[in-house]
Amino acid sequence: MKKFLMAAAMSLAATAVSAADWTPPGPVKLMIAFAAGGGADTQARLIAEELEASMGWKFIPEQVTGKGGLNLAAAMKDQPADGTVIGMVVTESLGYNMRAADAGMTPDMFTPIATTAGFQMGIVAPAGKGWTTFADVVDAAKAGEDIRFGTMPPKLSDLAYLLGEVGRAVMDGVNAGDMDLGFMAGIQRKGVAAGDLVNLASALSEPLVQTPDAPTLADLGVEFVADGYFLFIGPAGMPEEARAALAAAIEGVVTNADTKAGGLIQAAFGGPSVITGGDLDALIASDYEAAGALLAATE
Amino acid sequence: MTSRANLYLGLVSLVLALVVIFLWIPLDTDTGLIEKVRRRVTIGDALAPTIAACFVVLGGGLLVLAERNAADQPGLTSSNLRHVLWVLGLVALALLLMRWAGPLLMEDYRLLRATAPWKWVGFVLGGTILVTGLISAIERRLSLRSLAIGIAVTLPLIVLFDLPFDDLLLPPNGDV
Repeated sequence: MKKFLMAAAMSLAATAVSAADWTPPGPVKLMIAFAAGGGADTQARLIAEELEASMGWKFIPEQVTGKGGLNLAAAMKDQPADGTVIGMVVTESLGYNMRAADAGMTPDMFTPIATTAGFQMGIVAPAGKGWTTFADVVDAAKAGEDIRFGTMPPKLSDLAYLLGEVGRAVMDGVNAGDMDLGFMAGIQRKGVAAGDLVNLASALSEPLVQTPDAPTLADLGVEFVADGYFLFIGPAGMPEEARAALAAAIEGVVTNADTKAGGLIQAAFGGPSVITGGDLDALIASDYEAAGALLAATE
Repeated sequence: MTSRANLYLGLVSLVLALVVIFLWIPLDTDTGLIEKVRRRVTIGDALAPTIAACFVVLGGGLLVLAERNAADQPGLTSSNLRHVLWVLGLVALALLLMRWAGPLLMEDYRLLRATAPWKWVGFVLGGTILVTGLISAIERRLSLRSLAIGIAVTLPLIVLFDLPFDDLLLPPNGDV
């Protein structure tokens, strides 16, 4: 046992040393799963820019968009796992999206590196509707008003569907502009601050930072949540020192609000939320499991 | 005797289009013509290429059925075919050189794909051979002048697309 502990300690020490020493053997292909100019793209590029300046690493950003990160996953899975190919997706890419698509990919075909920020996913209505709580929406629905519920990815459609059942509201899941309420993952922040939008509920397991009094989905009787994070991944089999070094470097940038990336994450997502290592492995695994349950519940 | 060029072109188009519709598209996409994801119907990956291939079927069918005996169709000589094959072969060679010259010359080319001068190897070789070869195919002779033009066309492209943009890679380096 003692021998084993010694060996474990030594290998941990070796990892720590080599993670600090690790540097990418060449330029790093930075795949980005979302459109140029959006929140994921902007922060990924700003993080890369900061790492180029501070670490001397070279990044080559490339958009690989579509299917909520699955196109990126498909393009990445056979790439070299030496730390020279990383990608920005969201946790939902390896969770719900991968599970729902059933396209022959599983999360263990990838190495999760680090999350950068969580979505402040709220159920948001325009202030002009006069609703201040989610109960007002339910009352309006009971009074016979059709509620147009805007959702983008299919996972949110499933959540809206469950809310519709629970609140007995008549919900039309639509994907287009003219809607009464909808899921928003952080972009509502300025509108809420200005009084144009109202966070009626938190779609997370925790209250929203900006509107802590709004009920969570659990309070409304829905047992699933839209917790999600921006996530850097690499192909499976990435050496531990590469994973640790990349995670530490990314964490160093996003937790420093003086960097452009850190500033953006502070302003748009209420601050960084960095999960790495074993905690991240567990999060990805549980997201994938929970996705299976949500898919079954909405069959 | 009337030329049979329309018939041959039509048949080749039909065979190609049918291969695309029934082999290539099904093997290369996994969503079908339309896709139903969680109560939502969306356009599948196969829809657009299938429609495009249907137009090729239409065109090929017209050539075979309606224009087979048209009086004004051009003739097809063996020298025509040789020229087409020569040009196709040249383009293929140039693209192969562009893609593989770097990796063949250096074992770890992927790690050098953003480092001068290695990152230009494929583009310079492939680009020069493409332009020089096309000129030579038309002129039917190889000259130093056409080689000089090939280089003179390729280098400015590098200056235009590679030097000013730190995050852009010249072909083929994005695929390496």
